[in-house]
Amino acid sequence: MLHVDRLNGGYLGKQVLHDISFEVKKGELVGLIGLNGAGKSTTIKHILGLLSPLSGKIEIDGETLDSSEKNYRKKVSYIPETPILYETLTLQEHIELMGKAYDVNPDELAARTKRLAKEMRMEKQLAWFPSVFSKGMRQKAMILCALVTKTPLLIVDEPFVGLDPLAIRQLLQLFDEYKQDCAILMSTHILETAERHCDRFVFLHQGVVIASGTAAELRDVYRLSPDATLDDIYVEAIASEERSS
Amino acid sequence: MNRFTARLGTWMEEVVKYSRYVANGGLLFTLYFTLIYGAFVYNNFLERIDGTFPGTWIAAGVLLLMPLGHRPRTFIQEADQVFLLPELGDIRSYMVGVRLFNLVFAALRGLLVLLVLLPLLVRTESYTSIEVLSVVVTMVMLSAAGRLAKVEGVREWTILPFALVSGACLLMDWTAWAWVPAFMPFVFLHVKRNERIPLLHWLVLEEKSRAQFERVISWFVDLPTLKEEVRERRVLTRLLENRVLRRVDASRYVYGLRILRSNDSLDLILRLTVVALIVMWMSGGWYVGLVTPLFVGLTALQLVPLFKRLEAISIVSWLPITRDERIAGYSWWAMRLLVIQSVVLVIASVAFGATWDAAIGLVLSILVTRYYLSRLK
Repeated sequence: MLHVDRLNGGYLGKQVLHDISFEVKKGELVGLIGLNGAGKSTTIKHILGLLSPLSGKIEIDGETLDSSEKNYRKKVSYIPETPILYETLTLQEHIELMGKAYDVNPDELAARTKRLAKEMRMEKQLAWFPSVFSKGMRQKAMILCALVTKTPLLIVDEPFVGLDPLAIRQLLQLFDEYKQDCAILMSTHILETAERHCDRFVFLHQGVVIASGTAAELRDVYRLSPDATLDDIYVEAIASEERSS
Repeated sequence: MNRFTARLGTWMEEVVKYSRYVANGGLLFTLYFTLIYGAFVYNNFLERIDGTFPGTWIAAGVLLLMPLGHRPRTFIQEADQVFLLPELGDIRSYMVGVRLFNLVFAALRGLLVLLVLLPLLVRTESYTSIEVLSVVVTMVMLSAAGRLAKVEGVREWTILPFALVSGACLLMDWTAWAWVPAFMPFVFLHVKRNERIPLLHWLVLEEKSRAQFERVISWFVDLPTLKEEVRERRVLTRLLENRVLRRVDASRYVYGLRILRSNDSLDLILRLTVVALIVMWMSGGWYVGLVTPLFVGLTALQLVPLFKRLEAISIVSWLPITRDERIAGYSWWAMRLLVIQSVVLVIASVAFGATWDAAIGLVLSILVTRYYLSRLK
């Protein structure tokens, strides 16, 4: 679904990503794991088309940003780390906006909204303006807006920040459901949760992919015992990388 | 250097910086022209009135408005909630500084209003110099009392009874004594004054005041982080929902709702239309049709930075809505609103005595609108 091939990129005058390659297949939830400043958000911004790559190729479901910006963007929805909502629109109107932008059939949109809002305990808040939302509600609103689109690829940046334990559990269930016929790329620091729910992992360190694969594959790579947690694997991966450099 | 002086210095640097941007911007000429035209129209108006004009009633009304609508500055920052907390009890000099600063600003606002009001009073009333001085002092004191009331957390309407009595003094020909009731609120405010900085209240005041300052600056310079005030406007939204919003595309939908509910767009158009109508009434038929392009231009001038602000941090950056579509969506609304404003003003100008100049006004309005909307790209 998502193919990132030898991506070099970053900000004006500062290259952050070096030859990054990975993919996310249909039905997969892939965890993008890295320290602060490893390049996770920069990678996501490149995939979303908010930054232009220096070189390399990003393809979502066969589309690139150059082939058709509109078609490319219609294939990806995004949940940012910091919720960004329009203060002038209610949550219901945000959802209407998403429906119009992603060409979702109005009946289908209404049905999805009803079900998701109920599951996320946000039914009452549909008519509210974001100014009265708590931090957690804002994050749930962003999640709801992204999930109603049902795009082939969902990108999630640190989705658990500000959510209560019940909401985190609910969100993970929704992700499990979403990925059945789509793909999810999730950047997170909460390795325990990632280990339980991600199918594969991409470890980023200083703008380079240092390892990728399932937990079992990564344990083999770093010669760790079968009971080693993702936390252990990650620490070993960083240590190994720093030793070799 | 104490904390207040340091922050005052920073504020002055900021004002100087932005003043330079404003002075360099070509759009400033639109404002110059409006001010010169306004002064010219007002002068014509004054020449047409005599002693029968209810000048004192207008002055009494203005006195009632003087304590209202102030946005005092406190220079309190969000980080002060943490870092200033230990010092709150003993930074009296900061509080004195804030009060003095706001006192001076309120006095300046009073004097600016007097620049307009005094010529009217001189034209319609036969005041002695003592009475003129009393009007000046009353105006300045009521303005200062309204501003300081906000600083001290006292509701500004508590100053209104004093303003009402001062106004009554003008109407009853006790003009020389009008300053006495205007002085009384200061006694009241002295009793109610804060002994330590009301941090959260002052933070809210600072944010509102800063937003107002930035709103003016944003006419000339792009300020993407400017906050807007939102009004729900349920009836208007429902009215538009079925007729327009349901049928339009995503960019027209989002910008339609933002224009409808933000105080920077629909409110702005209504405010400027009312001011334009007042200017037309005062101009007494002299080239009244030219007021239309002037105010349509002023409105368009302020709608352009609004779009740039909406674009800055926004969901639409990653949605499947291209920039061209966004510009088209915003222009669609802006053009319609400005055309409606132009038509309303042209009809009003005809009612106020315009003839051929109304047609020129309409053509110029459309040209001005097209010019400003082309700046969206």
